[in-house]
Amino acid sequence: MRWNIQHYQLYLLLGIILWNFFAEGTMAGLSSLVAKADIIKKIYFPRILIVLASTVSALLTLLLNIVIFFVFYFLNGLGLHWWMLLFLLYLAVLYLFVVGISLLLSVLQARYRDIVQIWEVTLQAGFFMTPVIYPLQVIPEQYWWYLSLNPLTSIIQYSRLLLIHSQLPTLLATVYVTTGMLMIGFISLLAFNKLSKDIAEKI
Amino acid sequence: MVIIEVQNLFKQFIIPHERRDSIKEHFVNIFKSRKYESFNAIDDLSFEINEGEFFGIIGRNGSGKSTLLKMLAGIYPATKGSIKVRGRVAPFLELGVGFNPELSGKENVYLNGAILGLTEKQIKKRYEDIVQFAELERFMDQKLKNYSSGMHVRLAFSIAMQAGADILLLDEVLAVGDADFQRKCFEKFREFKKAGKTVVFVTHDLTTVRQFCDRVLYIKGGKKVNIGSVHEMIDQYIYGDRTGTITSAQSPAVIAEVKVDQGQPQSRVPGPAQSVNDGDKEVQITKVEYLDHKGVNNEKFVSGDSMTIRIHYKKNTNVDSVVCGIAVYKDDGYHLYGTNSLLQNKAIKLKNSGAVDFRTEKLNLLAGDYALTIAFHGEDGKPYDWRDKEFYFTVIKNNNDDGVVSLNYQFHA
Repeated sequence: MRWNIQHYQLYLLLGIILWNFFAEGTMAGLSSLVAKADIIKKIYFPRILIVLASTVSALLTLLLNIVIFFVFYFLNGLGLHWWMLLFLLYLAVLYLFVVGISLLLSVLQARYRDIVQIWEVTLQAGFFMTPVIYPLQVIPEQYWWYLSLNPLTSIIQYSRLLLIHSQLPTLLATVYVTTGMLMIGFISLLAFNKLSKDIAEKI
Repeated sequence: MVIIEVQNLFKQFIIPHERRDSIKEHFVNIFKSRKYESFNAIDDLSFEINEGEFFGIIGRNGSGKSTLLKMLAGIYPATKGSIKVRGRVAPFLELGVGFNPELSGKENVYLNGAILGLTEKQIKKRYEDIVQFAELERFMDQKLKNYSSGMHVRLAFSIAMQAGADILLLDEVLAVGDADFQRKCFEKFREFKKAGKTVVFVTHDLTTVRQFCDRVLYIKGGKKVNIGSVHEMIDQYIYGDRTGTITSAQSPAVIAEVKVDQGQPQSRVPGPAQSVNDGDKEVQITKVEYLDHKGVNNEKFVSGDSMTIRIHYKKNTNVDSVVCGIAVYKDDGYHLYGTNSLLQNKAIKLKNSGAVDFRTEKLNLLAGDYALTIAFHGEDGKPYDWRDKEFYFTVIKNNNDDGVVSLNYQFHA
């Protein structure tokens, strides 16, 4: 089977960069609370800071990677367009999504110490269930709906569309994916606030 | 102004009989019911702390002092009830929380300061003072892992003291460091006191409480026993509850010659029936009690307070007078003191039954466990009833003097 994708290298690179950010960020966030157990037991400060701080390092890696991406981007002779600024919105939403998932996983990890193993496996499976290395088009169209349940699929696809294929995703699609991800992030935040109250006893 | 207000506070801990902290364990034991106990670490506690007060919390091990402090610091949430705190709290349940050995001293100051809620600007302003107080000017660029433990503690304490919080919560943190460092802490405390800061203080060291605290909360089993002046509370703490566990908690030294069980205070006073002692029981010691300065039955005395030993007797034959002898031993069996009524030229006239009091106004013994030998004998030395090291009492320290006996001294220069 031949995949007829324009600028496949860029296509692949962008997918991997975004996926790696998600994987790295959530893994760091997941273990952050447990790693700082001795501080949590001795002093109070907003617990969310610990998780935020742990994801920031992944965010910096992401920004560096994007710089590298754009080097290849220009080498491929592609140019900028003003509506590519929408990509920044995608990144922001993706970051909040990563923070949200990290918050949820970190409090769960404090209670159930095998969450980390489960999440590792989930990430591996997720990598192949998200069109990172293969294009969405190889999946029969009737299954696309299931794939779109995975917000990472949407964000990666729209970013590719925007940057590589110079196409603006529809407004509806953008609203759909951003609100979806923000909702998940927000619910995770609520769960975190509830579950982190007695974290000093549980950890 | 009331700066900390605690109302009907409860803290319940759930203690599962078998700990499950992974999904796998939950999955494997899915059909097994979970058994757990609940335990009230804090049980309906209400009190107020005023601004500028040095407030002590005393109580035995496991009475909920540290839990209470953690709740005041916001680390544990309340199960029920409320805590209102007006002002910024700096908790020191441990010094140097979050210190990273791989970072330099300077970086750790910033790190620890941030954890205590200071902004970078505020830390920058206090940095010089912190370093100076810690006397570590030359070492600030070294990694923390190369610090000696003394330097470590000094740095942590300096940051704590310069944190500039309205309320300080201290949990036994003064127990660290050498004598010189402790002296420095105390100096700083006096400064705080002058500056009108509020300090909440949990410690076992009653001497420190006496020295600094204005008011003391005495808790037991998570409940408030009493709250009030330092003197009264410490008094109550030591003398108050005779049925408490202090005997087993504070006197691990079991006296070798003990024939009776240490755990039960009553059985220390043997009845006549089980007597296996020397003497022909013409006069019998039926019971020995100790009375403290309030005239209340007690077995624990603060060094320097008065103590009365009341010896109850029963006359079995016609003896008019006896000699009463008393000897005091340290718990390792060392003979410290002995006297008898003959040496004082005091004849003890006997009724059919009654009591002889042995009273000392100032108990010049230092902290420890002591054993008593009490004997009745005739002037010719013929023993009537001789109880060898059968009675015990405990002395609690009121200062930091060392040794066994307290000498009434004064330094002159």
